[in-house]
Amino acid sequence: MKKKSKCIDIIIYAVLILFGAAALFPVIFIAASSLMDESEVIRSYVVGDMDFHIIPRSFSLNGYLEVFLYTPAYLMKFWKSMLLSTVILAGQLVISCLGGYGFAKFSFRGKNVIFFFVIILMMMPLQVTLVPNYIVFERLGLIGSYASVILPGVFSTFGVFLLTQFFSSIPNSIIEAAKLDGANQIQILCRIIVPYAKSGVASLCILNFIDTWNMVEQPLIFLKDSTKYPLSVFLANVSRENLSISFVCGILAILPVFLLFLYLKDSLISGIENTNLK
Amino acid sequence: MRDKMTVAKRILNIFTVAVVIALLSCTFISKYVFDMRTPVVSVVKPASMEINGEMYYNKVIPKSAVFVGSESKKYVYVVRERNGLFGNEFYLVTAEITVNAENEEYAVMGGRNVSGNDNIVIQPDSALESTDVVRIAAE
Repeated sequence: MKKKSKCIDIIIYAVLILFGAAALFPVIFIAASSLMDESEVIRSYVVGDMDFHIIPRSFSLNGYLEVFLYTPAYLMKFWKSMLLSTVILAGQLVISCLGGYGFAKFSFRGKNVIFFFVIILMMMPLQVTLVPNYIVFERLGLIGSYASVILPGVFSTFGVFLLTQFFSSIPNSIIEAAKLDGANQIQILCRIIVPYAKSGVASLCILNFIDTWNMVEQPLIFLKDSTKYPLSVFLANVSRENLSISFVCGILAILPVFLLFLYLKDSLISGIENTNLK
Repeated sequence: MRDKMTVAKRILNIFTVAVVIALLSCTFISKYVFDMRTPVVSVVKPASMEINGEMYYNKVIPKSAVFVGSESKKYVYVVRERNGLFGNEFYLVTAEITVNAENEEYAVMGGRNVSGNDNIVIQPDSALESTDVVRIAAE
């Protein structure tokens, strides 16, 4: 019996290791390819006269030198991505917390109908909303400015929906107790609701940051001027000529998301643990 | 356990600050290196003027813009604009010309490779090459 369970354990671990390796493979592939010589990259992935290999045969840091030292445009694109993602995330957090609190803890006429529209808007594919957004921003004279990318991101309904679900699980008795202690609505939101739903806010931060960090369609359509494009647009337009550079830019693009995840993983895990305990 | 968490968090903070400082420094350094490495050229548009007191010519450029290449053919560098990876950029194209008339300072261009609206590099550096990305000097 013990031998059988050990066998099952081994099989489970083998499958999990396989899945883990499959998930990690793209990152390892990008990291290894970023250290390859440009000619090796072209021979391996463009011309195809070299067999597939992960470990570089000729190590080279030329790609890193090009991205980090010789051409400032790559890092400028990185900072533009960072600016867009940070501003959108900050705005989205404010809107989502206020909206989520309103939907979760207040009763008003038409609440369910409005929340239904929030869900409908959330489910709409991005491509459907691009044209109406474009028409509105053109009328407002915002096409070509960063505001045309930031505003739809800030007022995205996904955050409101997500935080409504998290805030709904908070007992009303806590809010009543805070009210008896003299706390106003903003104090209740900032000091009780948000810390209590820390895992929800952390999830929103990670999901929203990844979403805006990787956006391609909105900058392409709304910004027009290619000098304003963020790093994600460059990564989406990789061609044979800049293949080796794109691997280095891939590493650069992973970095902020990776750090954000490391910062918020504790909140996420504690949130999941608390949910299980309830 | 809690101590371990604190240490891990401290290492993460230090790592993040180091990454941000490194990226900011690299941005400024790369901007400086890029400016140093990108050749700056002075340009002029072909003009219409009188040469040798005889007659008016179109496509007159400073003689210093013309350089002699292989087989004694004459060339000029023309600055063209293209949509690069990071927006519009200027690059050099070598255009073969004929010199129809000249004096000490100016030459009259012939041929169809250069139009009257093209920007011609004056006093081109011998280190310049066709397809080089360049910056145009402020007038």
